[in-house]
This record gives sequence, C-alpha cells and structure tokens, in this order.
Amino acid sequence: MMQHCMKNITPDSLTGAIFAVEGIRDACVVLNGPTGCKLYHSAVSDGQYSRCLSFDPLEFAEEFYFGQPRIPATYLDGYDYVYGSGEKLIRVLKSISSKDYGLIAVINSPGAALIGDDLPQILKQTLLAAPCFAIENTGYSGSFAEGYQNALDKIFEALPANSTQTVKKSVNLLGFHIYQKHFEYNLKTIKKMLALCGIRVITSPCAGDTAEKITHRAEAELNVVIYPEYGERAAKQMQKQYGIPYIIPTQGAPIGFEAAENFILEVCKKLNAESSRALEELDKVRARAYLFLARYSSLLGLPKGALYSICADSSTAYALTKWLSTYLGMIPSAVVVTNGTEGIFAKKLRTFLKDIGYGEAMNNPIATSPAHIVFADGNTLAQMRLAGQRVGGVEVSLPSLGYMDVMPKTFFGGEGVLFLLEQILNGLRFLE
Amino acid sequence: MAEIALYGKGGIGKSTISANISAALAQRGKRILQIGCDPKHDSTRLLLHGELIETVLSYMKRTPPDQYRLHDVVYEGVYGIHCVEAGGPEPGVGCAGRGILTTFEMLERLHIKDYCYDSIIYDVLGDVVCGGFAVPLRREYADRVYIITSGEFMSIYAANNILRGLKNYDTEKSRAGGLIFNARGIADEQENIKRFSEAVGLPVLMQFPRSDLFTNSEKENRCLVEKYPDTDIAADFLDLANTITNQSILYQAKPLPDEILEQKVLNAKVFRGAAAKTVDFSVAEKEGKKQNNIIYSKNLISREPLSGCAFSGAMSICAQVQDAICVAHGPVSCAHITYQSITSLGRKMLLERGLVLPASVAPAVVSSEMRESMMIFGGTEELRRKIIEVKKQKPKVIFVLTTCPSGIIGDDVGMVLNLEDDCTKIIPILTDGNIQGDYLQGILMAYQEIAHNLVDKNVEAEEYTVNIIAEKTVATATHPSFNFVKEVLDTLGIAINCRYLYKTDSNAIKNLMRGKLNLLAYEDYMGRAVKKFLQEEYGALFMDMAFPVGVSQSAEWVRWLGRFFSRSDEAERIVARQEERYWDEIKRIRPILQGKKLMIITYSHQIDWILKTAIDLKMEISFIGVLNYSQDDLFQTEFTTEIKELNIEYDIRNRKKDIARMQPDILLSNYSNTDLTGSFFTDTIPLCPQAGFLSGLSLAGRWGEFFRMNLKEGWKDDAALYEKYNA
Repeated sequence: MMQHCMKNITPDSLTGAIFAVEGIRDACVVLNGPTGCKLYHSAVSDGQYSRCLSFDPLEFAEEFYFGQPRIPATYLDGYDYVYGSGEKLIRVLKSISSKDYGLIAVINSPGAALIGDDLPQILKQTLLAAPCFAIENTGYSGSFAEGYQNALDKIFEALPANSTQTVKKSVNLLGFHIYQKHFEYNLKTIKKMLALCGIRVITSPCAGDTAEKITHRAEAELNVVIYPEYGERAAKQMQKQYGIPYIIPTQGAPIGFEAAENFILEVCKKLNAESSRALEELDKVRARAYLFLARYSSLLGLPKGALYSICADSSTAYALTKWLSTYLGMIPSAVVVTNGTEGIFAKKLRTFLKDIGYGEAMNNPIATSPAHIVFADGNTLAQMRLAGQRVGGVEVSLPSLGYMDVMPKTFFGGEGVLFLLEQILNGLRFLE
Repeated sequence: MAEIALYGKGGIGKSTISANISAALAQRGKRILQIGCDPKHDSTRLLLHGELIETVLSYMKRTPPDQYRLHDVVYEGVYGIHCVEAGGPEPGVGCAGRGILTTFEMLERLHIKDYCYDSIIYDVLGDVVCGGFAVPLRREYADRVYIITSGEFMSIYAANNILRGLKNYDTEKSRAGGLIFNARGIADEQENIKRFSEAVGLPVLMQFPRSDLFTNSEKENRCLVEKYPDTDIAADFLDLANTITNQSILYQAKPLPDEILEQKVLNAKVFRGAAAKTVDFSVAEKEGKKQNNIIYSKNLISREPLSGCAFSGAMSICAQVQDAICVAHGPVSCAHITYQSITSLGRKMLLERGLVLPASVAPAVVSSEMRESMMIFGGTEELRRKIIEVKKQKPKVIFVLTTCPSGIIGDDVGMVLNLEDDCTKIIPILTDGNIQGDYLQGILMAYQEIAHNLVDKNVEAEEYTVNIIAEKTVATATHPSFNFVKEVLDTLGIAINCRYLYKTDSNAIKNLMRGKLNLLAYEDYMGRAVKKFLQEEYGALFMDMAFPVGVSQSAEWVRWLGRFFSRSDEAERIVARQEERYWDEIKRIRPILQGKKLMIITYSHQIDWILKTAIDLKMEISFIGVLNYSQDDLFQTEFTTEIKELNIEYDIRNRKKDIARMQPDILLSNYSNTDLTGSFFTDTIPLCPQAGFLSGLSLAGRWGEFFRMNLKEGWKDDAALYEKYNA
C-alpha cells in the first residue's frame, strides 16, 4: 500500500529552539508567528511538561494565548507579512511583562523570519525586566538538534553565569529536553545515582530547572553530556569559557546495566568520587532481573532470540541495542537513528551491529521488518500495525500513542532496566 | 570603526559613489570593507577592475555550512579594499530581502568585523522595500546612514521612504548623516533637492555633477578617484569621505507625509478622492460573471484572529484521499506540525479502541524541505524534483499545498503542472500557510479544489445510494457516528457511494454524483458551507438534517430517510426499538435527576440533544451561555421556552459570578476546571458529539450514577498538597 512508503515527518529546528526554552521552568517563548505554528507547540509543551491543572481554554482567554497556557503568539496574518509584526509584538511583550518570567525568548516562525522585523530592537524598546533574547531565524528545515543548540547558546548569553566558584563533586547534566520520552524521571534517576556517589547536580538546562539555576552552571566541576547530539556544543563552550572539562560516557546514555555501571564509574573517576553504593544498588537490581529472566527463560526460552527493532536518537539507540543484544541475547531486525548517521553514537552503533553480524539492521525499513518487540515512537508503532505486524511496542521517543504515565517511568539505571524488562517479558507473552 | 550605509534608488549611481568613497578612504591608508547589498551584485565591480566575484548567497547555496570560510567570499580590490557581494535571486523569483538577511547572518557568524576595519561601507539597493533590505539600518550594523539621490521625482520619493525606514529603527538615537546629490542635469533639480533637504532637515553633503569622467573611468572599470585622481570630482570624493568619517553631528530621520512631499517639495498637483469614479460591473455580473464566489471561513468573514492555518486545514482533507500524495511545499516544520496533527487521531484511536485508520496512521505527506537557499532563490526546482520522486509511487493524485514561506517568496507552483500525466493528476492548493486564512478556510479550499479537479458532473445518480459529506477528520466521534449511520443505512438497504472527504479515493470522488442523496455529517459552519457549495455548483440533493444526535433528531432522521427511499416500515421499526430503550433508561434515572438545576457554558452551538434529554428527565435548564467559537456562529434550539436564561455571545468573565448566582447542581462545559469551586457536579460536552439515539443519555446516565450514590471526589481536597510538592 502506498502509504507505507512515507516516512514520519520528525520535528525540525523550529521545534528544537522552542522546546529548548520551554524546558526552562520559568521561561516563556513568545512566538512571532501564526497560530498554526503556536497551537501545536503549546499543546506538546503543556503535555510533556505540565505546569497548569486544566485544559479549560477559558482559563487562558487573554489575547495571544488562544485558550492554551503556553507560548503566546502574535497570530500573524497576511497583513502582518506585508506590514511587519512590530506593533503586535510590542503588545504581547507588554502583556507578559507582569507575569514574573525568569527568561523571555522571542522566536520567529519560518514566515516571520522572512519579513525581517528587528526583534532585538523591539525587545530593547519594551524594556522587559526579565532577561530576554530573540531568535530571528531558527533555520529552515534544520535538524531539531541545530535548533536546540542554537537556542541554548542564546539562553547562556541571556543568563550569564553568576559565579565561577567550583563546587567540589558537582556536575551539570547536558542534552536533556522536554521532547524526550520520560525526560523528567530519567533525569531524576541519574540524580539519584549520582547522589549515592556524593555527587551533586548543579543544573540540567532545558529540562525543568529555573533560569536562575542555569546561572549557576559555571560552578560545576564537570559537565556530563548524556545526549551529545544536544549537549556537546554547550559542553565545549563551557570548557572554553569557564574551563569546565566534560565527558560523554563511552557507553552512551545509562540504559542497561553495563552502560549504567560505566556511567557511574566514569563520572566518579573524573570527580574522584565513591561509586560503591551506586554500584551495589545496581547489583541488587541485577539480582532481581536475574530471578525473572531465569524463570521466564526456563519456561519459554525467551527473550533470547526474539527480534527487536528500534527507532530513536542515536545515543538511546546505541545503549539500548547493546543491552538488548549483549544482556538479553535478542536479535536486531531494524535499527533506525532519527537524528542523522554521523554522530558518535550513530557510528558506534554501526560498528557494534557490524561486529555482531547484523550490520544490515541499520538499513532495514522498520515498518515492514519482522520484529517481536519494537522500541520507537507512537507513529512508528501505529504504522507497524497498519503494515500488519503484531509486535509488542515500547515507546522510547515521541510522539506518544497517548498512554498516560501516572506512575513515573525511566529508561535509565536500575529502575529503567526493570521497566524495560517488564515491557519486554510481558510484550513477548502476548505474541502468537 | 565607522559603519556607513549608503542607500539610494536603483540606478541612481549609488554603487559608483560608494566605490569612490571606499577608494578615497583607502587611498589615505584606511582599511575598508565594502558590502554590496543588491541582487545585481555590481557594487564592487569598479573596485575589482571589472571582475565579477562569487556572491555570498551563491557560495552558501553550494557549500555545506560547516565549511563556510571568509576567504571564499571576501575579495581584495584596489588599494587593498575588501569586497563582498551579497547577491540574490533572479528577478521574479525567491526573496531578495531574505538574501540580505542571510548574508549578514553568515558574515556575523564568521566574525568579519574582527578584522580591524576602519570603515565598513554598505551599498544598499533602492528604497527600503522590506525588512531584509533594512538590515543595514539595524543598530548593530550601520552607525550612520547617507542617502544618494538625484532631483528627480522618484529618486526623492525613494529617499523619503529610506528616511521612513530609518525612523522605524531610530527611536532613541539619530543616525541620518545627510544627502549626497548625484545630479542628472534635469530642470528644477537643484530646487527640488533644496526644498527636500530643508523639509527633512538634512544637509546636502556633496553635489556631484553629471560628468563624462564617470563614464570614461567606468569604461575602464576603474573608480574615478583612481583613474582621474587629480580632478575636482576626485577631490570632492576625498572631501566627502573625510566628512563622512569625521561627522560628529547626525540627524534625526524626519520623513515627510506623501502629500506634503508631493505638493510642497515636488510641486506636484494631487487630487484625493474627489472626482475618481469606481467602475460599474453590474452588467457583467448580470451576465453571470461572478467576481467573488469563494467560500470564506467564519474567521475571515468576522475578521477575527486566525485560528490555525489554511495549509494545515487543507492537508487534513487532502490526506483523506488514499491514492493521493500530499506534497507540503515549505520547510519541514510546516509539514511536521500538520503531520502530527493528522496522526494524533490515528494514535489515539489505536490506543483507545484498537482501530487502525490508514489515513490517520500513515498520511501520505512529504515535505519539499525548503532550506535557506530556496527562500532566497525560489523553491520551484526543488518542488519539481520532489514531485518527480513521489510520482515513482504512482499516486493517482499529487496535491501540492503551499506554506507561508513559499507564499511570501511567491513561488510559482503552477510551474509543476506540466509534470502531470495520464497516471497522475497534480492539484495545487495555494493555501500559502495562513495567508489565505485559517484552518477552516483551508478545509473549505480543499473541498472546492478537489471537487473542481476530480468530480465528474456527468455521472448519473443511482437509486438507493447516498454520499456522506463533511465528516470531521480529527474527531474521535467520526468513527462511531459513521458506524451508527451505516447500521441504519444497511438496515434500510441503502449503499454508501462516497465519503466526501473522509477515508476515500480519487475514483469515489470522481463518481460523487452517483450518490442520489447527500447526508451531511455536521450542520455547523463547515458543514453548511460545503453543503451550499455542492448544492450550487453540482446541484447536489441534501437531506435537510445533519447526522442526528440524540433521540428526537435520530427518530426524525431515520423516518426522513425511510420516506425518501420508500422504506418507511423498516425505519419505523428502528425508531420504535431505539425509543423504547431510551424511555426505559429515562424512567430509570428520572427520579434521581428530576428538578436538578442544569447550567451550561459551551462553545458547542448545537446542544438540543442534551437539552431534550434534560427536559425528558424533568431537570431545570437554568442557564445557557454560548461562547464565541471559531468553527461555528449559529446557535439554534427548539427549547427556548424551557431555558430560564439564555446568553448568546456569552462573556466568559462573568462565569464565576453567574455560577455563584445560579447555584447549579450540574455545570456542563466543554472542559472541566478545578478552579471553579462549589457543590455542583461538573461534566464535559464533547465538541463533536456522537450520532445516535442515546447520545444525550450517555451523559445523563453518568450524572444519574453520581447523584444516586451521592459520590464525592476526595481528590479535589488535595490542591494544597499539589501546590506544596509540585507547583
């Protein structure tokens, strides 16, 4: 059927820039653009990082909000494209100036970027009390990562570090954003692991910290880049500006036991911190996993030999692939990297798959390659159903099918292993 | 470092003057960078002795961004002057203003200003036609601005426009340096310039006469100051360069209103609106020549802020044609947003009901992925390539939908129509993002364009067939409502010919006229507009009612169908069976809800299905507030006498006050809200209710259970805890 040939259309640099700022707890993105660009981003931002209790649009009835809590917009129309958006922009900025935001970012939509309104000048004119900046062009059809990193540069410019006094045994965690599945609890899990090692997290920009907290970033002794596709540029910039060294854990995001242990050991080594408590906790989880795997395997012979497919960012895909194949003995069917094939973990992933004899998995179409368990976004999982595949699906990226995760979930550390294992073992049971 | 912008109307000689100023400064040992900001890219030609250099934009087009280097675009001219040309698209395509923005962004990214220039000269095209050409006026670029003009009408007119542009940017500081008079030797030239200079309060810094020396030096591709260094004109350029770089007093931009400019400065006679007559087209109109037969959305007609964009609305409809591919001509972001909006229903239906809806799970949408260079040079070539690529999948139709950027730069999408062949029809839908209107306008455009291009008017109607018209593509009620309708139609022995436009294909659309009767899904603004269009242009026969919601409407609807298709007996049997179920349930819950006060605040304009059930339950309808809604504007009810207080165009600011005044037992709205306190029960009305006899009862049943059990929602007492731990 023709539709199966179509690829998912994933977010680009506009969305990357907007969600970088929306991930700051007390920041506000003002979108200089039409409501068509605003409504989607506001809905996703609110869904991923909820900061209000109601969907009631009447709660957000004021001009520029269009019944949503996030991302006021100048609702540009054909007239504004001809005559400019300055007047509306000044009005929206004045209307939000009393809302006590810690950071305000004006971001042009693709159309607004063409008309060349002087956003910095308008920001200057409106004399906002909060730190503010403008992104006149987020890049047309750029990658999500480009938009995110460009916005992060601007965020750091607008929020200069207020102290460079190093706090011993402390880190910043880089690369998180709100368009990651379970970002909040992934972050909490890492913080818990590091706390067991006596390591404090100063900030994790764009993933729930306030603007003020981001100004403490220069106090960190080390930057830990969890997702290099989003965080490495910031790490390099902080190394240059403040002399803070950084690491990218060699096993990628702490998904699976080996990667989690490696993560702890590498960070602790850099900071001369004590890793034993965190490793012991992981051992306890290993023991629990062993019980379930042994019983499951004795009854069904699985999960060894079950086919899996993955569609995710490279740092997630690499760690997940390694764990599934080296710890559970599962077989890769299709592994799709959504953020380009040139990043360090995309390259490591290719090498790893080649080494275990499944190099072709990165070229296989995910919708039609046979699999038992699929780790992907909701669209991909739905398309596999459309293609007639009956698979167990685990959402590791967005958009979601819409299941509400009331119980916090994580992919990271011991808790993440147990969550994924539960999904795999139960998912395989329902297959014919 | 001085940053100097020289503006002037095209062809006025500003490049010649800019180059001579640069040369004059460089002769005195100054380090100069000249940036030409004109798509015809000849600003630095004289400085480079006639050599044409690669422009920044052409370089960016062929080079990956990580390989951008200054040495590829900065050329050395006479006296060591550094020369850069922005370049731009061919006339008539792309967006030259965007090109200037892009050039400046790149030069800034490569830190060109770190190279210790004494002066940067920006040579900028014409009057300030758009924000792109105004970039050098921005604070971080030019710190002084000079206007080159002759004494001709249009040149002074352009000079005044440049001052307007400058005034927009100069709210605190003055940057106008003065006028440079490049004489053309026409009558009254001196006087015109004098009057203009006095009226805008700017000095004429230098006057250059019309001279063969310019022509002769340009013939040899030399600046005058280089070719004839010992002439008076060369000396004037040295003086001017000296004045400009040392000028300490700058002036405020004070442009003149057009009328004063034309009357007082240019001595032109102006007549405003007195004698001009409009043209009478009434005869042509009587002959049937329609001027404006487009159907417009409520947003456009009411001149309200646009809700969503026409591009996305049109795409949501086109994606329902399952043997078509939609090409979104624009940047990926536009396609991404729309794609996610369409697939949101597919994901939801899979999760909640296990249903796989092909058009919502894998809509055939691709993006032409417009990049920066396409914004500047135009994107039709890339669009052609994309269409050739998708044609390989042999779709019956390719829809080309345009976004804001492609609309703004004026891409001519018609240029891809010659790719059409016997296998694939190409249908452009020129939504231009939201330039043509809101989401609903896009839906209406798609309905019309698809009909005009695909429906065969000559197909004969067949007995016992119906079309279903204007279902909602992103509503969860669409599927169950269709099931209800289909079940009734199956019982009556009536076939469905085409769902226009939901889960259909080009062949079904072509044969739309085969359907004898058309059944409208919703009688809202969109439904009414599509119905009117099909009636007027295709003579389509419609049932008087839309899909029925609630017991009364459903009974009437089924009976109407029975009469129309001579199947009244079967219809009566359906009604009797369903009404019996309805009344049994009403009798069961009436004792619980009788006398309860119902208050409704809603966007929904059709709520009789709820009111009828409430009345049958002998509840009191104490208050209805109807809110302004982008998708509808016609509130209708049969029950005006039963409603105690009805407020059309309800002001939401009165909500809390009215709730306190009415003291309802049940508050119905489209969204519930924890902020509304009181002892009432709250429930939500779906914006798109499900068709069928029992729709109202499914709501009332819930209220009945709630009041029967006298249930409490204990979680509502935990607001303080939420504030403590989460907020």
